[in-house]
Amino acid sequence: MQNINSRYIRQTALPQVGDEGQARLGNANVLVIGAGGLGSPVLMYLAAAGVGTIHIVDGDTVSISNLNRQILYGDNDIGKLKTVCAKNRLLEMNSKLNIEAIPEMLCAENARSIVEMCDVGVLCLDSVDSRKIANRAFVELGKPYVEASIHGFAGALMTVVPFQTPCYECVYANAKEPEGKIPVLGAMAGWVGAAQALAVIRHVLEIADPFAGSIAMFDGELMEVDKIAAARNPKCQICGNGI
Amino acid sequence: MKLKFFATYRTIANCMEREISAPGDVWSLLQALAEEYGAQMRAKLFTPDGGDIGMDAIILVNGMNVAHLKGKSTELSEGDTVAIFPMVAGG
Repeated sequence: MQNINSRYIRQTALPQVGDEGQARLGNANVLVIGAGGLGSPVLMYLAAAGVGTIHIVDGDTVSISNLNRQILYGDNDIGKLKTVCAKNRLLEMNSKLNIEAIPEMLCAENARSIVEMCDVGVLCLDSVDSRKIANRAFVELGKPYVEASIHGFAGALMTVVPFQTPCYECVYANAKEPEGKIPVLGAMAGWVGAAQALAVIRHVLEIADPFAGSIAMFDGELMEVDKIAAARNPKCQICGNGI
Repeated sequence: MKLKFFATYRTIANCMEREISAPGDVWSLLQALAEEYGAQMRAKLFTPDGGDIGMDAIILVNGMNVAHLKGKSTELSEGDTVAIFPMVAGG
């Protein structure tokens, strides 16, 4: 107990956390979909904060071109499953956690059964289609999630609380898959991914979200974070009446 | 009406937000912005054939994606707020 107290003492000292908040983090059950550029900092900060159960979903293996931004991995991980490498790395950081590796790509067939496992999700995906599949599953199951994306010096983050805030479909209904490889700076993935982890921790601790119903837009060129007000679409095919 | 630019659109326009007289609809607004800010803005706002809103541009009118309204024909009025930001999809 003393070791646990010592481990988290710098955050339990915060009035927003305390022993009760730390217990909440320890009991939290978080699903992280995508263990790449965003998923790396998300997973590391959740593990470091003592989030008790973390499910990691990713069917990909580590390649050399991942290493500029996917800071969970190193040269020796090339060719290995990301989920397995990530689990090992997180347990090195914090051996008391329950980490589950799910080496699958999220798809329409498995989304619901995967999302059912968690209390809250984190989308660290790299395609519009997979975000839409995940959005549908989270909304149908009424589970909140924190979604983010990056491209070059830009990043976007949105927390979705089904039927309370706009869902991914409300905001990005007409979005198409971008063509070609998306250019990404590792530090942008770190900036936005850390914000995703913070949003999840705030959610677990029930700290009010000043960005509720908004998109946080990260601008790495001007070093600004803006709030873009978004609205639910009453006719949304996913969270509205669909008419 | 209020016009807000974010991320790459802010860089191109060199402007965070401004008040303008409401043009008739979203399409008129985008044409005016392309005229004012040049080729880089035009390339981001429109499809290559110039016939529709480009896939990079997310346009919200009072928080609602224009895809849920009347698309490029969405009417604009004084008092509206239009936000333009890029589609960001990497992870």
